[in-house]
Amino acid sequence: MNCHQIDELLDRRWGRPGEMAPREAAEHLERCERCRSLWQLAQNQVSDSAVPAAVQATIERAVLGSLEPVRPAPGPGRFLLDFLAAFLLVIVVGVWLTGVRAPRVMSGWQFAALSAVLTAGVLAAAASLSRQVLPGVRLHVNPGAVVVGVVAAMVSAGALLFPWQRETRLWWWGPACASYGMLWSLPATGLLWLLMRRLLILSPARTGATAGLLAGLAGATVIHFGCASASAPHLAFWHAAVPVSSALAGFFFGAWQERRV
Amino acid sequence: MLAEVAETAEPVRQSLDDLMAGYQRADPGAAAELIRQVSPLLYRFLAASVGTRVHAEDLLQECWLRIHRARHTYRSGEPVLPWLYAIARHTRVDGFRRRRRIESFEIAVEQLPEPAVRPEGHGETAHPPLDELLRTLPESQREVLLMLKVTGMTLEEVARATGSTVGAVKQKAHRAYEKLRRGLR
Repeated sequence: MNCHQIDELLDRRWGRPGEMAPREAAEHLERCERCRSLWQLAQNQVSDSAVPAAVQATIERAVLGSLEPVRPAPGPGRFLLDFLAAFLLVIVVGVWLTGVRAPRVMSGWQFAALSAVLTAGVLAAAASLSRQVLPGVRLHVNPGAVVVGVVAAMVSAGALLFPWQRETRLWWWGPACASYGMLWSLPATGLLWLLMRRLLILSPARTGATAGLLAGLAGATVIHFGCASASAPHLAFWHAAVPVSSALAGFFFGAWQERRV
Repeated sequence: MLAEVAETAEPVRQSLDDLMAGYQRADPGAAAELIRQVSPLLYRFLAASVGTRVHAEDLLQECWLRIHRARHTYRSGEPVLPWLYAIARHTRVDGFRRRRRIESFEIAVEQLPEPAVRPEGHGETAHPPLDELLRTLPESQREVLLMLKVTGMTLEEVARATGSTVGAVKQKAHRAYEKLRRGLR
């Protein structure tokens, strides 16, 4: 057994004071002073944990005084479906009011590929968000990585799948297109807030960024259908700017909420 | 050999599940028993990170208020401790932020506050108390070790409580062990 294996053992036995080391570990502990010291340290008590009686009584009074039955929240799967339903509602209304122009200027596979990137991004953001609104639920992927990954995928798809042609209207059409997308991210934000308001958001900045990303993707999807541009600079910059701005807005709003505590 | 670790904490956790379900149904006996069982764990966790006993007591009360408000977010069948510690962890972080903000307006006084922790003794070793050594660790590593040590939670459960991955928790724990080894020399 070596020091690394002692670490592995401590991962499982750190919380069990007074426990004897297994035979293989004992041999190593005999030889290695550093590991022996660490093992002995793990046997120490942390501190006196007696809660003062007055504090305990205050807590019991407060909790028992306002005790009412509650209905347990559904699992992350149900929230995933709720978030996707909110997203689809905004898309359907947005596309219906905006119209569908993109398939006229893009080839079938370009449109399908960009739609697939957006769909994957929406699923990743909604799945991440559904796990962040319930405490103690394991996150499979770091929420920051989801935001960066989705934006990177959108920028890459726009830059690689479409021609880099000179775009004369880039600086006036681009901001107008992005602003229109951001406009549609607002109702999505409102619907997400309605769904999340009764839940416990432990990290407002992190959850705000993910919710902002999902709302921004709703806006980006509306302009994905309605925008009549198929140039790489426009798609990679201005369309991707919608979820980026929205995620940043969500992040800063969440950070502001954290500071208000 | 390594897999033969006795699951001593399991019966306690099973009963916590039942108590939590009773708490959600507004059973006063279950709620009171849950408070009695869990408060010492939470208090130990909160006290190990803050400056004074009074502050730790305030945080414990605030933590229970948050638990009470969010009790509907616990789902039956899920482990209770990660759910509780996820809330306790954020109570502590918010408390730290608030305290830092207040301290920025305060003038230092000569009298030192009462320490939050009172070591029970160092056992048979000549090491500094574990509490003292834990305080030398970065916050994220200390938090992981406290959860492993105070509650006997598994790496998986600590990952759930901290909103992290098992790999990240393991990495933090192993870095903490290495720092403690160096501190013990």
